Amino acid sequence: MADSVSATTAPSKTLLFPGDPLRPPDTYVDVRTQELQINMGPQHPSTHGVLRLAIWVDGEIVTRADPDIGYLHRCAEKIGESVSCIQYVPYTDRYDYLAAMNNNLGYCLAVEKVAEVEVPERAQYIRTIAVELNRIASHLVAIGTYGLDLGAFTPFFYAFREREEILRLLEWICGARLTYNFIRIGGVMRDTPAGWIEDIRKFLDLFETRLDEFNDLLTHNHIFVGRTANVGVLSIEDAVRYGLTGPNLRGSGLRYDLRREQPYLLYDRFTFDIPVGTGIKGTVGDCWDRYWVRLLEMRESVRIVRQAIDQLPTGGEIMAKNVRHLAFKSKAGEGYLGIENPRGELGYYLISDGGANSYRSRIRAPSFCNLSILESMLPGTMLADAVAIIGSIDIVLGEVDR
Amino acid sequence: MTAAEALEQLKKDGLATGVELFPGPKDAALIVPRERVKAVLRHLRDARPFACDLLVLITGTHMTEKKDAKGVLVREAGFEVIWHLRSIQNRSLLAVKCKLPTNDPTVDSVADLWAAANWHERETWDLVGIRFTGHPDLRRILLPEGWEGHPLRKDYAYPKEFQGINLEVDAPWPTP
Amino acid sequence: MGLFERSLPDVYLTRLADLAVNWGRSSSIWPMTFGIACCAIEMMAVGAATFDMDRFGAGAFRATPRQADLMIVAGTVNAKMAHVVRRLYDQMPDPKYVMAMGACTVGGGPYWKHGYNVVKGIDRFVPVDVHVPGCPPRPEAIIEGVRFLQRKIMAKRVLADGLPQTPDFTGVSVSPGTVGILDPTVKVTSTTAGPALPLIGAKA
Repeated sequence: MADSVSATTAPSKTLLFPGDPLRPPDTYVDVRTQELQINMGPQHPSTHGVLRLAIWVDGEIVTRADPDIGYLHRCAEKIGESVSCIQYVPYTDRYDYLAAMNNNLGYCLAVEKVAEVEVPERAQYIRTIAVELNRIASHLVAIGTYGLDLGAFTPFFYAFREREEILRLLEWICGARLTYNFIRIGGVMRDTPAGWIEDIRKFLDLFETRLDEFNDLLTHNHIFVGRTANVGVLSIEDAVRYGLTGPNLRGSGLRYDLRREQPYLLYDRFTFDIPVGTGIKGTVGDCWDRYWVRLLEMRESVRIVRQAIDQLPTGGEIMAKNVRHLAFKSKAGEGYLGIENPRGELGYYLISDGGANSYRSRIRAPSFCNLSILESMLPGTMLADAVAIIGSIDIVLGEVDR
Repeated sequence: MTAAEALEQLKKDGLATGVELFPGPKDAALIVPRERVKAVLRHLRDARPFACDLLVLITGTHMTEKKDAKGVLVREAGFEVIWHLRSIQNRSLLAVKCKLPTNDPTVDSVADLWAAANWHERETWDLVGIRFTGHPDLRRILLPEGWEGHPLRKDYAYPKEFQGINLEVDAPWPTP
Repeated sequence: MGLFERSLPDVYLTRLADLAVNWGRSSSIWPMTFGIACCAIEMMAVGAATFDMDRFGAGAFRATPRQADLMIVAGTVNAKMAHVVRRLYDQMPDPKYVMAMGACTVGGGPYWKHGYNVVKGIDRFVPVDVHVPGCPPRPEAIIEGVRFLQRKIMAKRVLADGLPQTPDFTGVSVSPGTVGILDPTVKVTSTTAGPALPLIGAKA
């Protein structure tokens, strides 16, 4: 009935925009929002790699998010069963390619645990120096690209300038800039060249002053604070339930670091603090806290490297004696070892049946577990905040997909 | 808390029927039968002495039969699922294993106990083919939909192509 | 150039015009930010301060394929990603170039044998102009790849007809260091105007 009444007064156009002269003056426009599914696709400048997020938005608010991963699945665990342990070390570099030394270290420690290989002390110190320098480099990329995601171009260049210095030092010792294959089973690849230690000292002195530049550029910048404070608040219970570890868990306030809880390598000989998020700018556990934890961790890594350089023994072997046979046969056994990657707990679970290849090499990638929080954390936020949250979790897709 | 101490504690709590100790070599673990696995894991999460609140890893392995030189069975055929649980307060790591038969690789899902298990179980289903009953959304996570087979099984044959893309190692050079 | 492409006679003046067009094209290559894996970090490093690629004109990284001319495929492409790469290639407007950066895109890289879902080389589904080997290639190698592509672009014929154009995806036939347009002794190998692109799959 109502339709036939309006059909005589208004023309047969169904869409009458406000301001249309033929529109009756008292018409309400039925504004019904529709939930739209958009694709934050595998090729996106802000997803830190090939991550696809299928997002359902209602206006600007995200109502549902479904991460779709697997665009970088490189058959890591199958390769672990197909090549020998010694041949597998270069493959481990390529998962978390920003912290390749940590990946190497985790795998080598796990193999040394199962095969019962004793690593000499000088090699342990060199491993610690390399791993902590790589941690600084990885956090620099995290901070630089986080600024880039939020629109700040300059911190990216500053972060990469520092990173080039670290990469020069790491290239000096092992020859590669990104995928090192330096930490081998039983020790390290080569001894420190002459002048390396002095250059590291000079770099560390310079780096501490440069970190203050970051605080001026990004940390206390009110635009950055406005976009990251009180955004993406993560409670400790949620973080533990979803298996988050590393700076994500520490940003929520829990002081849990595997270097302190389960000291591997030589971390019980060094003194260092474990920074946690305290909600300085907003709430405890927001994006700014996670960023702040990473910034402070770089300072702690500088402390550890200084102590490691001071305690480095003058002579000593850099490779264990009884490693060659691992190319042909190993000891049967299984074991899990978790280390503290810049992104969280990186663990390797190896089952060996005595042959050269592992029977099963399972990788516990921190970014894989960290990413699962997006399903519960993104709904309710705005789309621009989604970018801030993804950047603060600091994922590396090579690790997520393995 | 080591696996042996965990077994003693479970005996005191009355949940140790059928639970055995896997002594190693290297890492020890608790072997739990399939029907009791969810109850034991729930107890490990909730009970005070254990307090395993962080699920670190869920691994599935396809085991093939292996006999040593004398013909003694060293490894049984079947599937094996192992849960690694970490307790933040007690600073311990505990491993719980479960053996599954070859023809029926299903086990209870713990996605309602730890939300972290959701993705781990999806990945285990995707790559190994172990089905987790009670999982809210068991679908492939790493491999594309439409992929056939479970690659981490020991009898997996590498595919030659997928939806028109050539995946062979050797292929003719593209000619203009 | 649309209507005027390959339509003018092959005289010195049209060759000069070609030189001007190609100089403009090669000096302002706009890459697309398409980092997939580890090589993406070296691509970011080559765009950053120490190994600045903006010096060569190739510094304006565009996030959308619709505004880019060069697709630097940086990282391993697997079966799930291959359709996406092909779609992005199709979305780029002509003239477009593809650089296969890193060992994984050139021929599968470390995953050539046991990678069950890795595509062993992206030239199985997109035509590639430059292959840059390395795992990951150093920033200097990427810059050399861009320079190689610039020389290849300079050797193309845009307005002048007559001699055939270098095809799009076999290797460049001009020796590095020479600008082929004004050099009458340059050799070109193929006589086809442009290849039919294999859509997906490499079965000839």
